[in-house]
Amino acid sequence: MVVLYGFADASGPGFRSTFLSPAEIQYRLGPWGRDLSHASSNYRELCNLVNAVDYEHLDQFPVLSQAVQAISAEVIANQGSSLELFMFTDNSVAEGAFFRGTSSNTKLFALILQLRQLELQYSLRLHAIHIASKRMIAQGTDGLSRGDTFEGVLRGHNFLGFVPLQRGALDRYPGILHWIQCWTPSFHVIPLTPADWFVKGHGIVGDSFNTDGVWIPQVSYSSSVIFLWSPPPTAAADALEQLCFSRHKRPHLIHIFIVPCLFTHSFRKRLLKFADFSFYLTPGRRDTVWPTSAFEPLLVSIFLPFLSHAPWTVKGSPDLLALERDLRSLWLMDEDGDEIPLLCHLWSIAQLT
Amino acid sequence: MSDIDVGEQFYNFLLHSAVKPHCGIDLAPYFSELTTWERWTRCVMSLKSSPHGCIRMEMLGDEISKGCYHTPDNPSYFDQVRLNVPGSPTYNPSLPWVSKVDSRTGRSAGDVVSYVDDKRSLGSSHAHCTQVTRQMASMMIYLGEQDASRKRVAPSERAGAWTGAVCHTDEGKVTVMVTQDKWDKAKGYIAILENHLNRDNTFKHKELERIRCFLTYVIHTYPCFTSYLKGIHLTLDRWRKNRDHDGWRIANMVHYHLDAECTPNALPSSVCARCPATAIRSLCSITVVLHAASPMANRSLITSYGGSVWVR
Repeated sequence: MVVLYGFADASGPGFRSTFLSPAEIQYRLGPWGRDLSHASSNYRELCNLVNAVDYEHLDQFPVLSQAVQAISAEVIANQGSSLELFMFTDNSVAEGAFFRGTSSNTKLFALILQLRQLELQYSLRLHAIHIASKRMIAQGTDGLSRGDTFEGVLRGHNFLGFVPLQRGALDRYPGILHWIQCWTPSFHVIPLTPADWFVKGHGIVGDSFNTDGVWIPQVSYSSSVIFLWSPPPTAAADALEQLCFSRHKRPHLIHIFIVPCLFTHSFRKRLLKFADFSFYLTPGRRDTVWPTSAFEPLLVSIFLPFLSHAPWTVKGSPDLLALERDLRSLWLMDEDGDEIPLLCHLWSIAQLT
Repeated sequence: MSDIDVGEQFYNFLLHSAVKPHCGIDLAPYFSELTTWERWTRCVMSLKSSPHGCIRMEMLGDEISKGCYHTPDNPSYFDQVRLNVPGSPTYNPSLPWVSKVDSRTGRSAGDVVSYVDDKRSLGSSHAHCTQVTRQMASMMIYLGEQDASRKRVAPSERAGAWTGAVCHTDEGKVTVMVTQDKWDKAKGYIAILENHLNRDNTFKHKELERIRCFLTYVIHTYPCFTSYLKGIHLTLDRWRKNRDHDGWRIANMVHYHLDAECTPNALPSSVCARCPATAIRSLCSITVVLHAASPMANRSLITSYGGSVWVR
């Protein structure tokens, strides 16, 4: 079993990528040829991603080839093994196109097909993940275009430190809890651990047994409790599934779901579809909450109780849409604008205060 | 893995008492001797609330059926949720990313997943899976849900199809596939396409649509095939007017609707793909397709063509 992590970046003059192999860190850089220097940035980014993966398989970097050979031997011997590769790019089109598996652009589609063929040919499981450009700069891959090999991981920093896929928002910055409590003054916010996703997150707060000795869960009926879900980005899809189960079973509960915008293809569509109210907190807007060093925005989604009459949900109501507009325009007009009063207004719209 | 089937899914669950008086049919027009209404007391097919209500009650029932999760003799017991996610130094790609674990044995906890009226019980061994299935089925009956035991499938590592896919967990690996019938049918369709290509390179639209429909269904199980359907999509959509010879959508083409009285001189000078609002302001009876990159050239083309034009 081999897991590889790689960063790939492209710009006007050239391309670069770094790979973390089990033994060492490998990097690749160079200028674009005449044929690609005038192509679109989306094309160059995805082309670089393909090449970075492809070159790993060919001669330039033998690490992956060796790994594939080792895996091939293991597959033959054990009839089952695979390689998993996490490629990070600062181009969201590259991530989206790869995840969808198709594109309306002929050239981009050819590249996607090439990646798919690589997957099938080498029993590879590839994940293309979008990250912020500033993370790419901090990680050191961006600096390679200037020949700078003394930044980020190339300077000796921990490679996995730039891949925070395993840490939830609350785990990274505990100050978020205080910020949420500021705009939920009349509620008791309960942060959930992964073990709580399957129990407390479903509203189960205790045990009881009926006269036949059958276990009946004790359920929270309090309207002043908010469950705060803060899963790591890679586990967000599973946490969201549990949240949806919980909401279907007990629609009176209130949930807040916070997750950094990483690995978003696995959960964002579903999250934005089911949440009543969502907004992005950009890094640095609240330095004590989500500082610049977080790089990617924080996605905050709020699940309100269902209504007892049509249209059954507050989502899409004029008041809520107006609140979304006000929040956006507040941050657009004034970077230091105080969002707390606006967010407090959310609870009166939902008739929870 | 083992399968449990719920019999007469919707009829297992009662309607809310507040709804019952308003849910029924008047039989008087059909039977003159009857003057009363017949009321429904249970969720029935075609009631708008039935899917949501039944699934909700079923999920609540499943919760009770699984039993107390922290009682040690419960087959669904777990005391730990293991996060094995990428980015962590201990990440193991052979394990699930999120799993409920019984720390006494280190194995995954027993569980039951449901798809409407089909339940699949999961256990770490044959005996464990049997225990989970037995507990689930007996509690379902206790709660008043019908267990269609004739459809029960015994625990196996090579269980049959469930929600359109076959999942095998033998030989130390998890394999997801379609049934052999569907696989043969998919291969047959691809052979048909190949025949058409080799013969005269023409396809019947309806037949191609049918093939696409079936292959899309197969893709649910094999997502890596998504890219390979592109050719069929393009062929089917090639008749549309904003497509090139291979069926690809022509880039930078925007449909602008202009007034019937609109003369070329009246065209806004800033018409381009990046400001469609300018064009949307003028609604219309003539459909004009403008090349976004050169508004000035389009003006002359509109002049020469006069009315409805198609410019590439």
